[in-house]
Amino acid sequence: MSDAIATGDKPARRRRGAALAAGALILGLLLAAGGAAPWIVPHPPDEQDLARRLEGPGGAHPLGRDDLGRDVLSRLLYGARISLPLAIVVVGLSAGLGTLLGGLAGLAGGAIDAALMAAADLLLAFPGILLAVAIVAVRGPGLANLGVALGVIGWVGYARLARGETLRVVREPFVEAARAAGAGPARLLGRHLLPLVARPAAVQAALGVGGVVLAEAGLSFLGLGVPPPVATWGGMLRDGAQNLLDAPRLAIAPGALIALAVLGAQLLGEGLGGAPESAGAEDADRRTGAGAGSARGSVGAGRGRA
Amino acid sequence: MSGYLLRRLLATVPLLIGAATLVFLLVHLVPGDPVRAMLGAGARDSDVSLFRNRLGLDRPVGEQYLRYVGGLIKGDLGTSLHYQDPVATLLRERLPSTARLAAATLLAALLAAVPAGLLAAVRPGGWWDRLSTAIASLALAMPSFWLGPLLVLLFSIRLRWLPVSGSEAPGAIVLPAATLAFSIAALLARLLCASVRDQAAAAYVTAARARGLGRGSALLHAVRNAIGPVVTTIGLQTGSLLTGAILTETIFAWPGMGRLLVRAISYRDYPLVEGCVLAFAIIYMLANLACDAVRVALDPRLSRA
Repeated sequence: MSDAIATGDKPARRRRGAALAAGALILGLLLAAGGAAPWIVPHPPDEQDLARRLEGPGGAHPLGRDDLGRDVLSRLLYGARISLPLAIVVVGLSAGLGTLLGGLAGLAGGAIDAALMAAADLLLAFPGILLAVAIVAVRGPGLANLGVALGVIGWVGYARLARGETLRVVREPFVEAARAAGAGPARLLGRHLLPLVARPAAVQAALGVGGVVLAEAGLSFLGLGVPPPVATWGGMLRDGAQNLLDAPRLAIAPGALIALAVLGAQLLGEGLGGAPESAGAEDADRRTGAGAGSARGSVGAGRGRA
Repeated sequence: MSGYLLRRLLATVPLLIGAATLVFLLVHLVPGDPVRAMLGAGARDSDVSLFRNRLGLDRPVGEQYLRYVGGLIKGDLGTSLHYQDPVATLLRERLPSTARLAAATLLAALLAAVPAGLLAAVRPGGWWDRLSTAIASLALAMPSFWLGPLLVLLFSIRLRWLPVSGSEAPGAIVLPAATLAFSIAALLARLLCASVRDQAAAAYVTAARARGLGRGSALLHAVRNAIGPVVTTIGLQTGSLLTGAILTETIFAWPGMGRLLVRAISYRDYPLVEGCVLAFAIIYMLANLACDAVRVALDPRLSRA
């Protein structure tokens, strides 16, 4: 994948363009559906009718009713108001904060850099969403706590990326020249360093949106997400899994939307120059940095050092 | 090699202390009273203070921390509020189940990923490369807690081939392991493919080909060097394995550490939550350490880095 970027051959470029368009379209549609939900849903999402619980699709309920007799389509549309917007906000904040911190650490060096990297290493010692699970478990479920929990683990990747990029170019003539011309840290970061990080950070952010959608749904599935009766895809999937025997569609529909949203984010990231698997590869890249430094280049194989 | 390992092991110690401290702070410094949360809003004040006393929560935080670390050094993770058993014992009981599931998952993932990745690497842009890329994208987008119920629906409810849940019945491990293995296999296959391709473009492979080595044999040279990143990723994927186990064990009622953590959370059993989170982090660190060691054994140059 990396050589395709380097040579920029036409089919690869066309493929990336198609991926970008498809990803943007999927995410755009899901966001629009969520945004328009209050006006387009056929029924209020919380309207129960226990007498008609688990009723199959038909008539005014194209996807049927759930175990409390609520309209499944309406709840799915309302679910789009939580999942993607939350992911975008969390990724936006953690990407911004992480990039800034990483850039500053790279520029400042010394104790600031060491402290930041120690904090990053510490957070990376907890696998995946474990820390988020622990934070929500202690603080209690809810949208704000969910955002905090996912943000706490989210910024590290961007900080590492920005720091690495900053360290790579900080001795380059153009940075030295800017410094000699009297540029302070803010100008150095804003004008010379951040533009370099923007592209890889954007790829990571696009893939990150998918990651946060998955994490949020997973936490909701465990009952650690936004509490009921608010409709979330993860929560609907959890309830649906309880009724697998009678109404498998209740689990299939929300899961398909989660997968679609993640796929959209992956396509977007791919279109920006990343590869879906490089979310893991980048992770490997970052991690081996602690122990086996010379392995760095080869591990990030899928990433494309654009 | 041993020097490198020793260095890495020593570097893990501060990380361990940091992780334990973070877990402690998480439970003890978060606003709100864990005891009141556990006993419910209607709990009597006398019960709350009794519980706080039993847990040592009425002591100064510094003293609590020292006790906690002192206990950790002796392997004492406290006592579960719900089970009334030592947390370490509860974890030890569940560890084999989770380890068995992890081993089966990793085996399944490798059995699928290695042939799939190599086959894709041999013919870039070929039909298998494109198909496996598409499958991998799908697998990486698919939540395990969706795939799990879907597999149950197909293989347990419709076809009645495999048990719905539990761990006793024969074949019970198949569905949870397959659920967990799917995305890991996809990731490893794509990574192996990309890594082999990178190596196959290296000068030493061209040189080997120039000396008359066949395509297949030259590729074998590349594969040996391409395994490194895959090994590192396996280490990192133990993270997905562990956190995936939290979800998968819940879906399949698998009696492992993941389900124990979910139970602990629902009972608001904070000592047990603390213990589970810390145990997961320690296993994760050790798994990564082991994979780094394997990697250095494969490529001794890395130990000098």
